[in-house]
Amino acid sequence: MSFESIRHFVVSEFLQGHRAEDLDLDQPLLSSGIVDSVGTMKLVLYLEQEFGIVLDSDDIASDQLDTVRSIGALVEGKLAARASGE
Amino acid sequence: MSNLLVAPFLDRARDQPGATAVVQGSRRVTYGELEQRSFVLARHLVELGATPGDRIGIALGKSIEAVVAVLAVLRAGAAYVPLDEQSPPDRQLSVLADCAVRGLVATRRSRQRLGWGPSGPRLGHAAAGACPFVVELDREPAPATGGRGERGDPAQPENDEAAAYVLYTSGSTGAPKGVVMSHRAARAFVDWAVKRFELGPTDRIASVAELCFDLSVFDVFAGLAAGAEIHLVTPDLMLRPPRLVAWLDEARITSWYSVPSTLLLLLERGDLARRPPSALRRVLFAGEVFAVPQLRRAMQALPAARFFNLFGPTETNVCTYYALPPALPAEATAVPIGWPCDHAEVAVLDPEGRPVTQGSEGELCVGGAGVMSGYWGQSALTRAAFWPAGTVSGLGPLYRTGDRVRQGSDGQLWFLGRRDRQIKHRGYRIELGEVEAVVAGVPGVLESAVVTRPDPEQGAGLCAVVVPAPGEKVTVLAVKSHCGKVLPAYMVPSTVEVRDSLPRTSTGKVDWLRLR
Repeated sequence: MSFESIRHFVVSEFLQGHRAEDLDLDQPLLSSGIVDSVGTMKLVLYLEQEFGIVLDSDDIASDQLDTVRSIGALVEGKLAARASGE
Repeated sequence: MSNLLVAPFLDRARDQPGATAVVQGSRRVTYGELEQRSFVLARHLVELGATPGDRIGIALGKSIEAVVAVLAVLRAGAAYVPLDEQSPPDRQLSVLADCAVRGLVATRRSRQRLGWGPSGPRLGHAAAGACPFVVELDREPAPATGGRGERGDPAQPENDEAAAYVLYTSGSTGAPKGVVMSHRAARAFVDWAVKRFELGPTDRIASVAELCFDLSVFDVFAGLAAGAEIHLVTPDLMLRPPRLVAWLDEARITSWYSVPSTLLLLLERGDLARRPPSALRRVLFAGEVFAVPQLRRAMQALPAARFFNLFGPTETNVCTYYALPPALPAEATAVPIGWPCDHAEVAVLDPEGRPVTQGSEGELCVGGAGVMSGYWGQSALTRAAFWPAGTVSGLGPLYRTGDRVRQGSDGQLWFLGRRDRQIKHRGYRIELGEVEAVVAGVPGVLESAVVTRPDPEQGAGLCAVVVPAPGEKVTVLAVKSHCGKVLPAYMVPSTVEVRDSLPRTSTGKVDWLRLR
C-alpha cells in the first residue's frame, strides 16, 4: 500500500507531467539526480508525516531512499517494527 | 612562509592546542589534534609522491576527516580540489582529469562511487595516468610522535602565488572550468574576514557550505585562523530544518554563513521565528539575491543578529560587502552589495573598458589581491576574462564578473543583473547553455530550450521545454534521468514541458519571452 502512495508523491513532486504508473519501482531517484537535496528533504518530511515514522541519520545516509521500492521497504520495516513493539 | 593559507591555523594550534577546533555530531578534535593529524597525513601524501605544485582531489563529505585532508594537502605543498558529491561520477572524474590530480583523498565508499579500485583509477580512464594514488581516510595513517606544533610542514609551495585550491564552476560551453586560487588570494579574503567580522576564539561557526563551494573557505580557514570552534552542519541536519534550528541553539552557534535559500528553509520549514537560536549574532549571506520581503522576515526572526550581504563570484571570492542596518527602511525594495573589501579594487566599466559615469550601469570588474590566478589549463579563457593592467589607470588586471551594477554617489554598489544567461539557483551558479547542451542530447529530442521559472520556495527553478522529433516519444523521466547522468542534481531541470513546437518570433527565432 505504501508503494503506491510513495510513487504518487514522487511523481507529483518531482516528475510532474509523468504518469505515476509509468514510474518503475526500481528507478533510481537520488543517485540519478531526479531528486536533489531539497527534494530529499521534502521526501523525508513526507515519509515521516504520512506514515508517522522517524528516519534516523543512518536511514538518510543509506541508499534506501533511492528507489520507490526501497523506500517502501524501509517504511514497511519501520511500521512492522513499531507494530511488534507495541 | 607566513602568507600561506594554513599559517594562521598553525599559529592557533601552537597558542591553544587544547581548544576545540572542529565538531561533527558527538565527535570533536582540538587544534592540537588537528595539527597532528594533518601533519601525519601530509607526510603520508609526500611519501606517496605528492610534490609542491600538485593538485590533490578530495572526495569526502562534510566531516572532521575532510578538514584534516584539506589542511594536509596544503601542508604537503599541494592545492586541494574538492569534488562535488552531488555530481555524477563521470563529472567528478572529468574534474580530476582536467586538472591532472596527483592523488585523491577519499573514503572507501566515495572511491567506489568513482568506480576506482583500492589503488587508483580503473584502467583506460582519462584520469588513470595522472592519478597514481588514493588515500582512504577510513584508514588514516598512524599518529605522529614528537612535540606538537613545533614542527614545520612536510613540504611547502615555492611561494604564495602557488595554488591553494581549485574550485570547478559551471561553464557556458558545456564543461565546468577550474578556478585557481593562490595562497595569497585566499589569505587576502581570510585575513579581511577575520578582521571585519571580529572573529575570535569564543565564536562557534556553523559550517553550512560544502567544500566545493567557496563559502566554505570562510567557515574553515577564517574560522581556524580566528581560533574559533567550527561546527559542521552534516547532511542529516540539512535534511531536517526543525532539528537544524534546535541544533543551532544547543550548539550555541554564533555565526552563520549560507546562501539565502538555506536560511529560508530554516524560516519556512524549521520554524526559526518561534525558536531563534539564542547565541546567534552574525548572519552572513551570499550567492544569490535575497528578496527583501523574505530578508525582512529573517531579520525579524533574529533580532539579536547583525546581517551582512557578501558579494563576489568564485573568481574573486567576496569582493564587496554590505552591513545591513538593524532594521531595513520600510521603503527598501533591494539591498545594495555595498562597498569593496579592503583587498579588492573595483571598477564599473562599459563594454570598451572605460569607467561609466557615476550612477550609470556598467560591468563590475574586480582586481586586487583576492582575484584568481586563472582557469586551470585555459589560458585563452583566462585572458578573455580579464581587462589587462592599466585599462583603468593605476589599476592592475581586472576580472570581468559579467555582473551589471550601478554605483551610487556614496560609492555604494547595487547589483542589477547579469550580462549573460548565467543564473543562480539556491546559490549555485548555472550557465543555462551548459544545461541546454545536455537537454539537446536527450534521445528523441528535436529541439529544446531551458528557461527559469519562478519557484515559490527556491526563488527560481529550471524548466526544460522539449519538442520530440516526429514519431518519437520523450518523457519527463527520460529528460531528467538523462540530465542526471551528466549534471549535478542542482542543474537538473526541476520541471519538464513536452510541447509540439517552440514559440517563435516573426523572424523565426525562439521567443524566449513567451517561454518564461
